[in-house]
Amino acid sequence: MAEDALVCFENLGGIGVITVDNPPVNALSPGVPEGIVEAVERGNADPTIKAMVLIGAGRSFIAGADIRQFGTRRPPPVPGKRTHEVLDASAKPVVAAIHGYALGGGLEIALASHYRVAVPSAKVGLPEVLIGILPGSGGTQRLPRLIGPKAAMDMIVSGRHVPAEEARGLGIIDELVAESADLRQAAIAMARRVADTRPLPRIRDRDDKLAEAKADPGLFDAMRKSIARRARNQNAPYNCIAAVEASCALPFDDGVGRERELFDELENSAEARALRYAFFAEREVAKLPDIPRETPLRPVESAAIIGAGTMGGGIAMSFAEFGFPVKLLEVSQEALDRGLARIRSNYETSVKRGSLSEVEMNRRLGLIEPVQSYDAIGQCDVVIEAVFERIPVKEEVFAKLDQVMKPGALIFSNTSGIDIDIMANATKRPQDVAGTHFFAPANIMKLFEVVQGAKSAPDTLATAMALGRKIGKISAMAGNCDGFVANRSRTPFGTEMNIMVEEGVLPEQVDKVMVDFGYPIGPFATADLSGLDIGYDSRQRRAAENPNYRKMPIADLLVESGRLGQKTGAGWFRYEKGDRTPHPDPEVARMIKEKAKELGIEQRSFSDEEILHRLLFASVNEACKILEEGKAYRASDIDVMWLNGFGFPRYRGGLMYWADGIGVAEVYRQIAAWHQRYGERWAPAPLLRRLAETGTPFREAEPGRPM
Amino acid sequence: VAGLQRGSAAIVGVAESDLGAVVREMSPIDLMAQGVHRALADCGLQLRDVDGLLCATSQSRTSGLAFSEYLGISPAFIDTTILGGSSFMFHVAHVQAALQLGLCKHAVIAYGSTQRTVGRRHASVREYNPYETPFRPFLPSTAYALAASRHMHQYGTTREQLAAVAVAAREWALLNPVAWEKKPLTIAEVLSARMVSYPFTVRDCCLITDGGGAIVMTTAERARSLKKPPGYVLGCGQAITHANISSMPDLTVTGALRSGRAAYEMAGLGPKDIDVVELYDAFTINTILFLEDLGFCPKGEGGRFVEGGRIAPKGSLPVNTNGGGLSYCHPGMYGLFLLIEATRQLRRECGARQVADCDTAIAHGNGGVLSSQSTVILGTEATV
Repeated sequence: MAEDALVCFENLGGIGVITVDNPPVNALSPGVPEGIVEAVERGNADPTIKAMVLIGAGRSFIAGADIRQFGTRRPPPVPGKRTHEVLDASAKPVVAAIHGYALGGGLEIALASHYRVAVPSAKVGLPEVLIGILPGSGGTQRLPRLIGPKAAMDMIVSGRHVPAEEARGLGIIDELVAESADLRQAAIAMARRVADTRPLPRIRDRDDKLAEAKADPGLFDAMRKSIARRARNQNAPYNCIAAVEASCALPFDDGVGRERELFDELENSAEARALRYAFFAEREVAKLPDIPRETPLRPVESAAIIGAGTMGGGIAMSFAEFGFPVKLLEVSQEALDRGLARIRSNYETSVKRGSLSEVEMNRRLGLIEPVQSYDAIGQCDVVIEAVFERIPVKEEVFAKLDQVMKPGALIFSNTSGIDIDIMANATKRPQDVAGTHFFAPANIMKLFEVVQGAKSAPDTLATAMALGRKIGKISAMAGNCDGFVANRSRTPFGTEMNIMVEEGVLPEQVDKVMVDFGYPIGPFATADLSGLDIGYDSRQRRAAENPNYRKMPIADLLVESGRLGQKTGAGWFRYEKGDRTPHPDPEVARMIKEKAKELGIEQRSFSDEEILHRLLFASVNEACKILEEGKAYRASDIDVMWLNGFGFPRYRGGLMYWADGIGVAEVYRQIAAWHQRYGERWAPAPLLRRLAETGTPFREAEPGRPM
Repeated sequence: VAGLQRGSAAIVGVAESDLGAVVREMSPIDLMAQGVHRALADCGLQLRDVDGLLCATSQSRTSGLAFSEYLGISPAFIDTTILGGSSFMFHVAHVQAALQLGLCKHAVIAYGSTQRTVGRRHASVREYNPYETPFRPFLPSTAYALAASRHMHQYGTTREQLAAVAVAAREWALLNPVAWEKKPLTIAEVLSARMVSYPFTVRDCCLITDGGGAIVMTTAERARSLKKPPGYVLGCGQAITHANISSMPDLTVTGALRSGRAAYEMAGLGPKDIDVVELYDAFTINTILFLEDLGFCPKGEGGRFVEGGRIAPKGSLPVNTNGGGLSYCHPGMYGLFLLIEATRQLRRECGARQVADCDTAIAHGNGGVLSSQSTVILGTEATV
């Protein structure tokens, strides 16, 4: 057998051990399924083989399909020769031995095997829905037969990873072996034990668990109803349900046929293409073209956070969640207590909700150490500053950090708007300084925007990027400019929503359009949530700095009349006591109308499409300027930021991917028309013009000079 | 224009009269007649075939009478509509209507001017306007300069971009043996030339030459039996927005938006379908405004659009292939020359400046101070 074979077969005393060896995660790339089929057939043909074991080499069983294969022309599967069919047809038992991940096509192969044994750290799941498709190799037919349609739907529609212990409880795993045990040996032992058991336990032959659906025929409609909000604009979750429904209504082979039809409907759908794009964009974003790959990273085992406010606390929680000891510094005892109390209360809410165990809460709290002096943090590997956003305050903090931090410590700032170089230059080691911008709430939002200072060392930046990933975030690199990349690209959206209101749109109309588009909440409700006073302060600052600054008189009026958002029970919407639901407020409509009249702005009506395009095109144009200035590496990085920082619907791929769907030429045409109508702020970015004239999609835009 | 049928009429003969600086004794009518004789020869018709006569000139109050007398004909259909430099595009639509109605069989449209020889003051007398004249505008430059300044303010258009229009026109002119200007021109030379009316230097302004010409039109059926391939009238559109610049509704948006739309609609074509573009370039801003209003680029983007030689001989959009009013000739009312060049391009008669595979052409006329706009779309037999 060739050394580099993707699948190996060994005869170990009558047990055929089939090992999948396709690093890093044994994805089902071309050749792997064929190799498994060949091995199973070989085991069946060899009279000395009594039973087989299917196992993965390296760190995982089979982590799933090779996503790059989807949406491409592939030879149609030969009937009867698909892996799961060959396993079903096997006359000898096959034991799947699972460690690491058995996901998607990997779990489907395990389900087509006769027995499943796993280590406790293993995870199983059918996450196809997350890339807009469904398990297409019998998974939607076998899983309901194994664990019942309800539990199967839960797994298939959510796509979640199920830990081995839970999978054992559900009945997916037959046997768990100790983490320390030799899984391969345990599986071989199991294979010997079951070698003569007949009939072979095939999931396709079972239908006892399907009785659940017969008893409760409303099950599927109830599931559809329960996902209606979350799954709006998407087809995959509904096709997943339909496939499971078919498992209960049709004989197994017909069900598999139905599953294939439902799969085919999805494979090249807009949503699946967008989700695949997002998947790859999130891998691409880690690549730093101007920093050598082999740059050694600095060790990071301990962290300190300066400032125990909402952001500082959230950042500390992010570190604690991933096992880092983290010191939380606040000079005043009172502020420190308040910060810790907020962290504890956040955790308690999660415990109450059942999403966090009490043990885990205590473990995390134990990792967060409150401190009051800068000397206490000097030995930490990384410090992240999250204090008040004022330049003198930042300068003072960085000067202090420069004094106390050990040589080589990474000194990061969570600023969302202040020039990183100002802070870097407040130290004598600007090479160790960079921005690490979290998004609120910091412990939840995935985006981790690394901001390059002029003097940030390559290893500082590479370590920052890696650090973000270590605390469960998606790191994305940004150049140093006003607002960096994420917020800078989002700002024109915010400007336009305010200006549209002056022209006669109500906040509730804008929010409805954006929620229908797929945002979890509308932009005005989001503003109410964050507090309208935040924007007010920065507007005042900008207006003072720039006489041409476009003021937001209606937003200002709301703040000046005490409507600060949810915290005051009223902002763009009104709120009932103890309830976060935004209600349209006729008072706001009246204020808008009066102000518009005072300003002499003509009122008109807007179509939903105009609202959507006006908000998003404004940001697309800014994103083009960012790319042109070389402040982002690639358009897809901006998409990653919008998906993970702003709640942009993932099944639309991201801002730039979505805009490509409209077409560069059309975006340019519309932006130029708004330039004519609204003036300067809509001047098309030169890059946008070039792309439109050359017919180049946004996602192929070459960025300008390096950051 | 409503009522006109796409392709029902065609331009069959075209000719310039003597151009540039003519001898002192030449009258505008002499130049018109010279044009008519040459244009008839171009298509193989005789003067006796002509039963439709159209002309316009600022140098003869009743040019229709003078010209009929001069030619010794009594045309069945006569029209001397005068709306400035775009008059001849209006004439094309009028002839097409007359041909459709059978009011005439063969019409000539003629123009002549000796403004360079007699001086502009004599060739074209300014009328008094109570809102403008007291401020002593230098018309028409002041009016176009206002539009240019507004465009620069509103869209960030630069003087360099305006100059790029003049440079492109000059590059085309160097390929045209009868063009007035014979020397290359650079952006720097445009910018450093004598200032006329900010932001225009003399190189942003059209030439002041003598000249004239004529075109012959007939029905599509008759056109097919004549000497040369006809230029069919696929679309016509017109719009007037004002007479004086102080009454222009928006200094950066011209009636070409409307005239162009109407012409495209009649032709069933859009800007992407046009192979060669002839625009009335009395000033560099004109080309930018008309490229925008006729849909070759979005409003406000014209300045950027003309950068990098895009409309010059090796650029992606051939504009003003004869060298334009800026470098070829501009005898006061220039519209007729756009129709002549467009027809010649469709016939592939343009030698060094010939646009390859040219089947559709747009000839856009402008009159007054961006006041009257008229667009004609012509096509070869293949497009009818």
